[in-house]
Amino acid sequence: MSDNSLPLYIPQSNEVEVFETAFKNQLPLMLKGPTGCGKTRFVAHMAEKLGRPLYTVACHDDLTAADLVGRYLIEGGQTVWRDGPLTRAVREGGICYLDEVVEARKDTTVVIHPLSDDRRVLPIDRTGEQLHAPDDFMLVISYNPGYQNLLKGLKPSTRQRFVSLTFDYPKSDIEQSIVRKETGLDEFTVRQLVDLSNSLRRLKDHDLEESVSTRLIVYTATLIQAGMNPLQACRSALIEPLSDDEEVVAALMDVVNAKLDVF
Amino acid sequence: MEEFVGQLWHKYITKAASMEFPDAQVELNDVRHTLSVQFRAFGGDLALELKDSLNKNWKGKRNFLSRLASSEQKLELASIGHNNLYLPKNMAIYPDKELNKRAYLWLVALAASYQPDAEANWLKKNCDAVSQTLKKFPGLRKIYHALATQHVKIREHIKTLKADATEMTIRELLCNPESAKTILEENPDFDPRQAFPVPLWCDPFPVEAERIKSSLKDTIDSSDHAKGEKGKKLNIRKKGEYTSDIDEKDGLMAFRLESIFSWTEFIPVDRTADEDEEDNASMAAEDIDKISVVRGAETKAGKLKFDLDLPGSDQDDITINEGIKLPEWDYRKSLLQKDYCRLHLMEPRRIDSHAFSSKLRERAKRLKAQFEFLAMQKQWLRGQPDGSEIDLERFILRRADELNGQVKQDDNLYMELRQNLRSLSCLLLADLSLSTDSYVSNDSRVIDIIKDSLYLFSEALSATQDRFAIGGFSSKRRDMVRYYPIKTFDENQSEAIRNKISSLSPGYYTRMGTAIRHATNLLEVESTETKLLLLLSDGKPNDIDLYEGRYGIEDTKHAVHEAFTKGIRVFCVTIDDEDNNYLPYIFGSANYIKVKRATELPEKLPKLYSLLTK
Repeated sequence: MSDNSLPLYIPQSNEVEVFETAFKNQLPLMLKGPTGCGKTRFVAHMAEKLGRPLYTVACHDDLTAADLVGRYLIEGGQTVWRDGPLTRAVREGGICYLDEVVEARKDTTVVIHPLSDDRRVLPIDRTGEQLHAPDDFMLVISYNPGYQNLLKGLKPSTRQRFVSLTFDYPKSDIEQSIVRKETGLDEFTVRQLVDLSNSLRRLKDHDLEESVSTRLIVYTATLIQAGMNPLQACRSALIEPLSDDEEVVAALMDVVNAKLDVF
Repeated sequence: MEEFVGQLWHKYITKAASMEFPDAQVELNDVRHTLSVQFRAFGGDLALELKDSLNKNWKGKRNFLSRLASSEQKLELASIGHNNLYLPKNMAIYPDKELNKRAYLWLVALAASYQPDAEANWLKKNCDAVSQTLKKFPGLRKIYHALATQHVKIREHIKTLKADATEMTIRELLCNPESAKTILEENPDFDPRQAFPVPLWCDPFPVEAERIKSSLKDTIDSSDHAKGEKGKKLNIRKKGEYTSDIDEKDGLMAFRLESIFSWTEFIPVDRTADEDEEDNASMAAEDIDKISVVRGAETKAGKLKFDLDLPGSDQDDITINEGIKLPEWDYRKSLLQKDYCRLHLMEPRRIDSHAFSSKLRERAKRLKAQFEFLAMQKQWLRGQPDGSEIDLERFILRRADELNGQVKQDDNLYMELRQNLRSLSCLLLADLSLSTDSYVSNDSRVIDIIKDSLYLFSEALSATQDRFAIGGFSSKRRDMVRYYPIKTFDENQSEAIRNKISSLSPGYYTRMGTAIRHATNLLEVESTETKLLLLLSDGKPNDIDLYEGRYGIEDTKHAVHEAFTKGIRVFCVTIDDEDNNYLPYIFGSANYIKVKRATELPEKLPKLYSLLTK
């Protein structure tokens, strides 16, 4: 990383190039990938790199279009218009990042669609405005495909408006350098942790519903770096977050023991 | 009295003879789940299932006491087959329970690193696996050294075990696995296979292990086969498999120390060699009802009962349509074989008026009322032009607009309670294979439970707005997969459907993949937003041909994946009380549920449905 002020991000492939090209050509972008693999960090990194303000919205099932666009509020008998994050990003020419977009209410498509095709407009019903997005505005959405979202998938008509990038957990050597740079933990322990996590990832859909994320490895490494017993750190940050089944937790802790050489 | 003394003597002498430590014994059943999770976490093949290895009997070199105790000794082997990882039923080779547990842990770690397909000889592969495991999991080093040194100590106490050159080399290899390379290079002919076996190593004769298992399995372990298959027919089939199993030179071995390897005794066990392969299934079936040997207390009561009669065509159910061709996935070729299976639409020959017990009818009524209530659950719809309440949020926004000088024609200021309309189709697919003919309790068979479940399910769902269909399936080879369209999506719940459900009878096998594909096709044309395939089964996919074990599992997994790509969610409800590791492999960990007490299934199923579709 040449510039130290940027949020740390180590590219796994050509995603930086894709992002930059999409940005320069005013194309919206969709990031797909499992939780904790670096999607949000990637967006933060790119926003900083391109020098654009970033508006992140964590979508939830009660998020409506008004939450994105803005609304009138009554303050002391007066009404005040408050821009939502999306409107602000459009006005300022920033990057608006809708995290886990499938969670949001369906009426959000009303604002997402006209912004994500060649019109690039944001109609604001309430004020009667029609904002034209400047060239340095970019819409980025993310979602986590998987079994759980089957009943709540992304509509093809939405999906097809976005340039897409698929993320996965980084390759072992990249993941090791990420964890080392994030936490400053020694090379040997980091390698052990990453190897261990890769073993555990094989259990997805079999014994575990989710994989070990890079985020969890960073948490674990942080705890160890802060002086916690490595076994305890692995239990708290690596194994317990993955399963509520005591038997599975105990079984996996044996594997952690086997890996970490602390018997 | 004589008998009593005899028993005491036997007890004493077998105890003295066995170099085991029963007080410190660890049962595989207690740690099975843990070990199978660990095996996968250590990097083992995800598709393998953890099974008990079977006793091998042999007369070998034994110490005096054990010779005195009995003429035969038991040996439990752990080995890797194509479908299973076999571990000893219990572990008692160390006097300390913790050590025995760790011996299991070591064995699964070793098994995960073992390269069954490597070209090298057994000892080399074994030593490679040991050093690999220790390298990959440095935390195991201490465990391994504790296990190895303890074991060497035990070996030193075995009087009949002469400390000759072979034995010393074995001990050296055990204690210093790092020295393996040099030792093997210096003594390329070193072959300790006839020596006293090492429980922490791989099985030198896994081919024999497979042979023994295959033949013993037919008599002892009917669990895999009792699913409506037939003792003898299986024997015959097994024989065909031996040829392929011969390559299977891989595995681990654990054993009871009193025993020494020798396999002269295996030969008489392999009785299947006397049998000829029979092509004709019905001919085989004639022989079959004479044979259903079940041994051991573990077998389910249901397995004792076999109705192996294949009905004549005039007795069999009616075929409505026999022309539906469906593909099948062959994992060995990674190929979807087009038009490989033929699906027949069937109808029970005799449809009697149903005789569901009054108790069950009462339950159905209650459930129906509950579901009606659920279906009636209403939701506030905001922003309606008319309604019973004012939508305050809207009203405030409008006031703000007005204050701001904007008057818009937005009159949708009301909220209304309305029925929550959802768009969902569900197909319930029930396994009607012969295994469902087994008894789960004193008075009900699996099939009765399935029928009751179908009945309650259909009653409950008829109270909702959801579209649903019910189908049943069984199979006899790939050209005769039988599908009973009990209720189609467009039919309404009726007396005819209840009668059909009650007239279902079990038969044949479980070619699950084909049935799932047919159900997928039925669901695919549904225009609802959400599509759910609910599979009700009591066992593994299997059929009379090669469709069993891994082949069946891989095909079913593939069929489930096909459904998934078509936007259909597949969920499996099973009452198989075995340790069914294959389920998450096929369906994914979040997409199946085991109903522990089968008799609860009828009540549970509708509830499960409402949970799933919330």
